[in-house]
Amino acid sequence: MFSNLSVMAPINNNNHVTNSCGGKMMNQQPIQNPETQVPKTPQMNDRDFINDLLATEKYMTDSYSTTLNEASHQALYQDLLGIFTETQNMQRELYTVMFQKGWYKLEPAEQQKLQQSYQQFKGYATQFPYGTSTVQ
Amino acid sequence: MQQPSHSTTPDANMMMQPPATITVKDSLYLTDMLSWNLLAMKKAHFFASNAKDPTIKSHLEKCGQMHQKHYEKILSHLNVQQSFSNGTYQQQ
Repeated sequence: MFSNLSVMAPINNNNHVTNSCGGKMMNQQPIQNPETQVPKTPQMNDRDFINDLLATEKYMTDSYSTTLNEASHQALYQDLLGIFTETQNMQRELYTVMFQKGWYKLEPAEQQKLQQSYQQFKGYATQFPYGTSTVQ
Repeated sequence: MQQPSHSTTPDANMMMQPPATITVKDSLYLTDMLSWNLLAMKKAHFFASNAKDPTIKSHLEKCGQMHQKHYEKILSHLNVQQSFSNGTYQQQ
């Protein structure tokens, strides 16, 4: 029934995407591992489980963030900051697992548009109050 | 109107940091956070016990264990006897 347990998709099978730095602005390939299939039934499956827990972690980091802004004394703040960081890292870990399973598709931005934005904001360096020595 | 003149430092009694006290607002957040973590650890454990893929299962279980650890850490801040046994806050 659940026959894709052995699908451990290679993470770097889309390396060619990052190499397209030529002058031609061709459409970028989406970045995604082969999608691990789950049963399409009304019952929650593995993807639903991890997706629900990912949402839980996101909700909790939001809530911890608010709490951190309101904590009264330093020892409490430090403990909560540690808990926040571990929860945030757990969110990242679950996301990474889902990416490995092929449940996330990433769409690279067009190089030309990135370059336009870069030039635009590079121009704003003239407005810096501390000089421009650090701008490459 | 009369300033105390016995001290050379102007604000000898000024608190540089808030004292290690749990405020009303702190306590409300603490109980909220305990509730989130209790639900999260139970949910993660339930999901883990129903997951098929061993990789998914182990990550879900690890997540649940983290929330239990956080629950215990947060709970310790509500323990007045432990926190103020010396009159100062004992950081874990």
